[in-house]
Amino acid sequence: MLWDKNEIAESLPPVHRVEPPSLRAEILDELADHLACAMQRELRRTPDVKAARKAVIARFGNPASVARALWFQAMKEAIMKDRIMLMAVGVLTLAVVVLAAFSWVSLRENQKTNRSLLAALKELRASSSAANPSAVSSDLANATIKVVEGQENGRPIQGFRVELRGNPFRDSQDEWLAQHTNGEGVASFGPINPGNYNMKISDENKKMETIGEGITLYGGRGFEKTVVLPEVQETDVHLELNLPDALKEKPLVVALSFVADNRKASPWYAQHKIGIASDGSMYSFSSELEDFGRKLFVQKLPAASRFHVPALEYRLEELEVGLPQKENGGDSKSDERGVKYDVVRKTGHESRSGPVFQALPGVENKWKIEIPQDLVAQIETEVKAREIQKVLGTVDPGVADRVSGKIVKVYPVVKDCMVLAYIPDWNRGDVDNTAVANNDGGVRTLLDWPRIAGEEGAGEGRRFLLALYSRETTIGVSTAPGAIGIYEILGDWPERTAWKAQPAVAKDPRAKFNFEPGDGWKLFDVTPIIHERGETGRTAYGVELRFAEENRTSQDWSGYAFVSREGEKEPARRPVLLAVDIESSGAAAATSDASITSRAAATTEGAAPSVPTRTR
Amino acid sequence: MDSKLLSGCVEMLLLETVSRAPTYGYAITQEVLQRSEGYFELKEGSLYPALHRMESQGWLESYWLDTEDGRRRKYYRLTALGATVCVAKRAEWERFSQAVGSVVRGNAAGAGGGARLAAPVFP
Repeated sequence: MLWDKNEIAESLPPVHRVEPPSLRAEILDELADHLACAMQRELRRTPDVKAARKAVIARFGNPASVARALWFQAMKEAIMKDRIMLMAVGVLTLAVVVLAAFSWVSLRENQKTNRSLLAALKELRASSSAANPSAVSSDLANATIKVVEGQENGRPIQGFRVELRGNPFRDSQDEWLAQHTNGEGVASFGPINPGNYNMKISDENKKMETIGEGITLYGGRGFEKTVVLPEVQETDVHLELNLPDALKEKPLVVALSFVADNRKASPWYAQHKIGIASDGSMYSFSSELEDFGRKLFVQKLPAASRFHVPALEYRLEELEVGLPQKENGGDSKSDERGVKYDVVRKTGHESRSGPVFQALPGVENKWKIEIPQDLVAQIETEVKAREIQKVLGTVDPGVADRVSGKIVKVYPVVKDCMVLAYIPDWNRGDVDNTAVANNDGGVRTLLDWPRIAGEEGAGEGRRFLLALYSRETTIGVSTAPGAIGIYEILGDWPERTAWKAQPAVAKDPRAKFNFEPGDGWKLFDVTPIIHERGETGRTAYGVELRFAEENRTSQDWSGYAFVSREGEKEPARRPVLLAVDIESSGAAAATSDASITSRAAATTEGAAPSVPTRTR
Repeated sequence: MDSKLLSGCVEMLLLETVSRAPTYGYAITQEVLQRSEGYFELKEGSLYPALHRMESQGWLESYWLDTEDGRRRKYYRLTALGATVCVAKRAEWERFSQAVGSVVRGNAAGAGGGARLAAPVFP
């Protein structure tokens, strides 16, 4: 060998702890192979071995230097990681030692302090007991609350809950105490800490409570109060939901929150939540706030359920409208809490200006619930969008804005690629874009879709639109781009097709479309091709999109860059074939970019557009 | 030639060469030399660090074969990521050279074949 591998190896740094075992050998073998090939080349020029070796070194450089450079390049990252790890371990160890020392010192100090505190406390207790034996009882208070009905000497009410909640004078923590009134209507508290308290009385059966009242309790004294509360009967309420006709068939639920808090009318406060559906059935509900919007959990009440409320004056505090949850095609998701709905919108009446409803005793009260007009419009939009999305699935709903008519089915494109005249070998049909352009011989896109069953393709009003999303549209500045034609492909083709291996296509385009500037969805009506396939039953291989003229220059070209079926970053914009039912009025045609002409009609650029007709 | 010009496109030249077929270091220098008609002479001091760097970035993968002379030879081939990068660098080069050509020649019509504005080929 003309170069001593060991000599080169000796020039490398010592074996490092984190060095891969095969690194040195691989570097040396690779360089040795290169030197040997270079030597063979030089020996063909001259038989003088010394001269040949000199020529090789002159071109190669010092093999030891090259080997060292490769070793350092490979080891750089590993050595850096190793050094960082060592530093981190060192710092962590130091931190642990410091923390341990600090904890020990703190512990010793705490022990000293605790001992002196205990001694002081003992001394204090001894002297206090000796001076004043009754000091404990004068610190606390008593409270007696009597609840009666109608008037001062009215019937005592048993079973009401009396609650005291507040701040004792000498304590920062809240006190929270509750007692039920006994047979004499009395609830007694004590001994309790003196302080300021908020007193509430509640009738747990009827789910109402008084609006809170502040009382102050002083140490060493008793507190007595008689609370007079009006009798309140329960009454029935019938809810009637007033919906526009368009929404009466939709499965929506309206959740209502009624509040009685008019102090001028009554000291009682009550809140009731009830839901009513578009079919009139009633629900109880709870609302939960989730990360991605508000959800309603509703449980249907039996048909005979009545809506009982205390006979008070109520205002509608909150109204929520829910639609079935958007999962699995829009079906509601149920769990043990009930059925889940997405809330479209909630209207609150924080200004206390919501509609007022009276619940009168002894009658069946009928409350009509009106949905605000702007909320109705919002629900209608949401319902329509969901219906469209059910058909579109994961496809970008923006495509529906381009279509006149109702999209009834979506077929994914099953094969697509682009071919470029100026890179004839390029066959990357698996990249995330395709394109159509008119420069330097042209860029073309080939596509195919699944076979459409005969009955799916039939129907006078059924159109098929190829929808491709242009993420970048370029338009030349000086010349008109020309039309884009759809050519039927006549033979099979693999997805990785290159320009030079394009399949044969029909001589004439089946349809032509004017080029449209701007990014977004572009639609191409391929209805005649699908109808013909269905009628003749022949095998079909898809279509090719290309400009009629493909000779523009690189400074003045036009084209679309479409998302391909491999577009992983934009899955909602992958190419699809849409089946669209046109309105039966016959006036509208499938919306497609600019002019549409077919083989059956005159095809001159700039001619007035005509709707393609089926040829039988 | 100005070595700074070469250093900016070494990676592209290596990727293009490897994209044609799996190959090894010495063969790469010879192919680049021949295809450029002697214009690009890759120095081994920059060739192998570049090859090893692209391998660690995942653009190339390597394997060893034995030669007839009993030596071990390291071959490089393009990965899927490398193919993507290759196409991107090619497109970038085309735009770059066309822009430079426009400024140098000052001819908007691109006479003499200004670099083609590549159709939007996004990897």
